[in-house]
Amino acid sequence: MRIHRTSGRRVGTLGPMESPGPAGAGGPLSRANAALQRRRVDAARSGAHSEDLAARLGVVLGAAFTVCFLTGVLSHLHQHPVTWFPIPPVPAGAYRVSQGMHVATGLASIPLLLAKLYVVSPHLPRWPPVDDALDAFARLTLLPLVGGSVLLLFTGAANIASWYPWDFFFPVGHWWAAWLVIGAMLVHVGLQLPVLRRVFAAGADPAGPGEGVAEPDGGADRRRVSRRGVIAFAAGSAGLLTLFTAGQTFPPLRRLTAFAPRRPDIGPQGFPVNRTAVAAGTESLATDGDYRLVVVGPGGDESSLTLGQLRELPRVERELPIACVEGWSASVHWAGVTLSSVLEEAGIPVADRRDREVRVSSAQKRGLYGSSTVDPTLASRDDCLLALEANGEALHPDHGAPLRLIAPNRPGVLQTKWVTSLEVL
Amino acid sequence: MSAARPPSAAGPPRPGPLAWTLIVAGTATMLWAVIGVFVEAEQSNPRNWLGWVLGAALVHDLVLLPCVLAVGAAIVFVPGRAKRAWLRWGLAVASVITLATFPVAMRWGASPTDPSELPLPVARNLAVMWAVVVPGALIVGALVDRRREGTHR
Repeated sequence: MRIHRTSGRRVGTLGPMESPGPAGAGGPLSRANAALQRRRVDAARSGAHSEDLAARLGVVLGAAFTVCFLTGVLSHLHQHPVTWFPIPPVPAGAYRVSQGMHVATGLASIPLLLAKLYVVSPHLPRWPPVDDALDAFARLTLLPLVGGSVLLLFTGAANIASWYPWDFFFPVGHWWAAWLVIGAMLVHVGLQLPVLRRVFAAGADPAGPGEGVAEPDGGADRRRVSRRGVIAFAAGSAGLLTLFTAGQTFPPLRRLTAFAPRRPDIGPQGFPVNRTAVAAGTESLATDGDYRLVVVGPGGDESSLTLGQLRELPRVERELPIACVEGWSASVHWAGVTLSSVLEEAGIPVADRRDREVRVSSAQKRGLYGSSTVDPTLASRDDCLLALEANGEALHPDHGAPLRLIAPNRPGVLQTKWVTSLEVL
Repeated sequence: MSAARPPSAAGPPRPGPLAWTLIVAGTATMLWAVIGVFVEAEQSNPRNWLGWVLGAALVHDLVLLPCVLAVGAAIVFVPGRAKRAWLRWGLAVASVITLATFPVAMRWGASPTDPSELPLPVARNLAVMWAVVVPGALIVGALVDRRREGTHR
């Protein structure tokens, strides 16, 4: 192992194949190869392209991707429940926090990824392009790692702006891109373990952070990007992006919300809408005098309740968050009746619905998420509501008037609006 | 984007048991992802999805990175060491924030029926950010250069 020192600081480690070699020797191919090797040697010595910085940035990016991935899996499990991972209804704001973190870490990952790719970029071109079979595999897996990561972050950033310039269904494409990237990341970490061990065994910052200080010649070439410059870019842009977008879910930062797709206090009744009544084709439901909530029991028995009958049931008020998969969330004061009291009123006693899910269906004619299911634990809780009011007013048509589901720790897409039927399954 | 090869007089060290575990688990996960795309072909549109994965890598390597390097090469001619560094920082930060938020700023996904969707003047806010960050970075850099010149005098 050769260690290059600059003013007593190790700035990079280079393998035997990375020796610069004599310039101009041999034919055009070997001269080009020598030029490439010299470029790689320069790059590895440079603070901005050192393996030390690449490893440290990689760890930060890996941590951000891991948080993003785990919160994404949690969101997926909310929408596609599995029996082996029951999601508890408390804390009520857990989904708000996890999905807020998902979007915030995803946005912060954009500058981290670009910084990491910039740091390692001089190492891409080399001749011969691969050394052996394992190296060929390592180089090949960079395609899903880089392409998948860029696609993952791009689709996420476009989705929160409701922009879909691709021909696949976003949740499915984003989901499989996430698994592709996590797989490629595991391979990359496995292949880079010796580098990680070497860098982190060396302890504190071997290259030094100063402008120009990290240059191999003691800072003679101060026109280059420094190690400090890359760190300042990554930290500065990730920090500013978070500062100016996280207010869409984190109330203390709300006044700074400058670049977010939503602001939680903008919308009818003081909070945003994800699908309007016009878009769902339900605009007449709020004023429909013939509205009936149809309730179907486990044996198929059907009954119905008018709005007047619903209003006669015990009124319940709760402060519950509405949290969207796109990352915004807001606390709303809801008033209505409990789902269990409605089922009771419809003649379905607790004994008949124990261990049974309830399907809540909407009148919406267009779009996805026309119904959702409520598990038995949630359905029996006194904070699982069919809301008639929000923030002290009758429910706005865009928020699901005359009746919508609102329950703790659920994604907004499962808080079914314009409810017209309940079915005990 | 290459894996930097670990140095050793006897050539690069071979992966140990932990590394092989990660490599095998990661490869299996990638294969599972690709299989998943084809199993859910109706919704995932595999051809389009794979095209976007490949295209994303190419756009980064052949468009974005060369643009960054070209701007970086031009900044080399800016006089003043701190001014260069701060200008580079300001341009990079403003560019990446613009890149990350351009779908919001362009409002291509705005709904004609939903004023709560994309309600903020993000394009204007980005313009303000550019007007503050880049000249601000230049001023800070110039002040640092002037202070350095003063101390060296």
